[in-house]
Amino acid sequence: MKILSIDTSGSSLNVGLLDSSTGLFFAHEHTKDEARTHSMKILPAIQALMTKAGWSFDQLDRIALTAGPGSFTGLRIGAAVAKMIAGQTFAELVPVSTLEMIALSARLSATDPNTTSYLPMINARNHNVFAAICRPGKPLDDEGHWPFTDFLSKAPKNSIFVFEQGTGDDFKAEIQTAGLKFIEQPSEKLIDAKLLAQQGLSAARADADSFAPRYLRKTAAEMAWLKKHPDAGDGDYAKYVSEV
Amino acid sequence: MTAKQDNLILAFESSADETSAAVVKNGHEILSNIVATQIASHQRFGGIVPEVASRHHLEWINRVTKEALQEASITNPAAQLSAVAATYGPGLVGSLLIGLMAGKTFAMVHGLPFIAVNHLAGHISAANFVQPTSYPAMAVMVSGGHTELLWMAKENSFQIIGTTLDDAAGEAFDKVGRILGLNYPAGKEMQEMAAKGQANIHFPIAHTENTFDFSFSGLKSSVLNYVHHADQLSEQINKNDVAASFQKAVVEAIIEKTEAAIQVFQPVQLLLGGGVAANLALRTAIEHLAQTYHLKLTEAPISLAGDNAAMIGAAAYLNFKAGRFSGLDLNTDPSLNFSRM
Repeated sequence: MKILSIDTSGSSLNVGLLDSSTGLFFAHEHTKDEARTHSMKILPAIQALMTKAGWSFDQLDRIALTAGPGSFTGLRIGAAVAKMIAGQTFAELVPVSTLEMIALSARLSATDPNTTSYLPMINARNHNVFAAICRPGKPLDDEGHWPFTDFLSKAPKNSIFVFEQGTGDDFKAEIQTAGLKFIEQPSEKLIDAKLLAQQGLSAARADADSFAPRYLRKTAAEMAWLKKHPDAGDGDYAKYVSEV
Repeated sequence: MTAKQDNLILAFESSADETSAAVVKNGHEILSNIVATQIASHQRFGGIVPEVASRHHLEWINRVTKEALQEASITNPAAQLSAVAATYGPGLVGSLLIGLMAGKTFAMVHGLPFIAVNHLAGHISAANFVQPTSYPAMAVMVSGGHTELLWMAKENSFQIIGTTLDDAAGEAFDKVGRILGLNYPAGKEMQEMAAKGQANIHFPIAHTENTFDFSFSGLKSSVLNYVHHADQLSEQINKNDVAASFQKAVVEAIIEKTEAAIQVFQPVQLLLGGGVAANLALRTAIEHLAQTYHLKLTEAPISLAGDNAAMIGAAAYLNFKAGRFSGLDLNTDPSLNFSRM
């Protein structure tokens, strides 16, 4: 299977091409100034890898995409690209949780990967986090947008927090007080493009045309509106848009 | 490609709250123009919420693309299309990103050249669906985000003669509509109310340092003061009269500046475009002005006055002819604008 992996959920741009039958893998090489440049760098990166591999877009079987949570704008850049490629070729879109990828990427370099539970975490400001519990060999648990303290109370014994270097300073003291550990990953190591492609082999496919990222959080405007309109339902976006 | 072959461009527009894809033939014929509007969503908040707009755009982008291709009978994009275009500014950055990324990705997948289009050039180019433009021309661009007098010495050349220093004309309509208790966007309802009312209240037009610039925030404030004053005295106001008087003041401001610019720059042609170009009072006044000065006039068809991708395709065609293409690394430019004369 020929798989393109795309992750633009954070500050680092992760793009890779994997041929699962031959094991051939090419990845975009990280540069120092990648943050906030995904919209400019992602397509040249994909094009360069496709040329290197000698593939045409019609040969792609799957596109593995980190579906969220993460930077809202970042998620949309990757999703717009993945959706359009999938919509215009034979490739299937395969979304994978960003948090799951953070946990699995950390597990790659763990000394006891088969016993450790990881707590992948993304800082969502105001002492809130996007976080989940990733037990060995189990599906992701409790994935959501949490006040950090609430999430901490759910953390299993001996589990290890994983977050991008420089994004978890507000939480370190509480983590240590709770008797837990943390791993700070350099941004280019937070998500492994090859592992993402491999996850794409087994993860469930999604309908590319209707796909939306897993933001795990409504906008402030919508939350305020829903508070005033409790009967309006869960804010099904689609019904608010129509063709003219 | 031979010179005689038709030029087909797939264009994307997503700068504000409309997600649109269109296929345009030879810059002046619409083969398809699919527009998904988010108005019902933003009405909940009384105006566009950028994050919500971006989410909607992403949810609809593939759908409008496929429908635009299907309606134009494009089954083999690489062979049938000449280029792909998208708006890259001005507009909301998160909104612009979706159409721009979609356009660039489509171009990459099918190996087509990519053309970046200025949203304002798009609005002006909607005139090309009516008739060819004669030069030098002057464009009056009035929308929810823009109020501009533009000079076009030749095809695909735009310079700012005058612009708004604060609110755009359409924005003023929305804000005054809000004062009068109307839903967003208020332009259409204001126009209907104005037709029933008398323009018997004097709302002053602001004077600007540059003769050709606009200012509408003072006008909005004087409507607000008028309504508050009546409230304090427990007087009933006639909302239709307020709408009529406000609309008259806006139209007069636009006509006054446009007329001054006609006298100085002497164009042979006037163009009217942008969402507010759907306002009938403005259309009538511009038609009268064109007649007075014996100018050729092209008004954007009302159906193409609002944001749509067909107009982007029309503007892209001019870039195509001029050989102006962009790379896949092009970013959005939310505050993109033309240069001053």
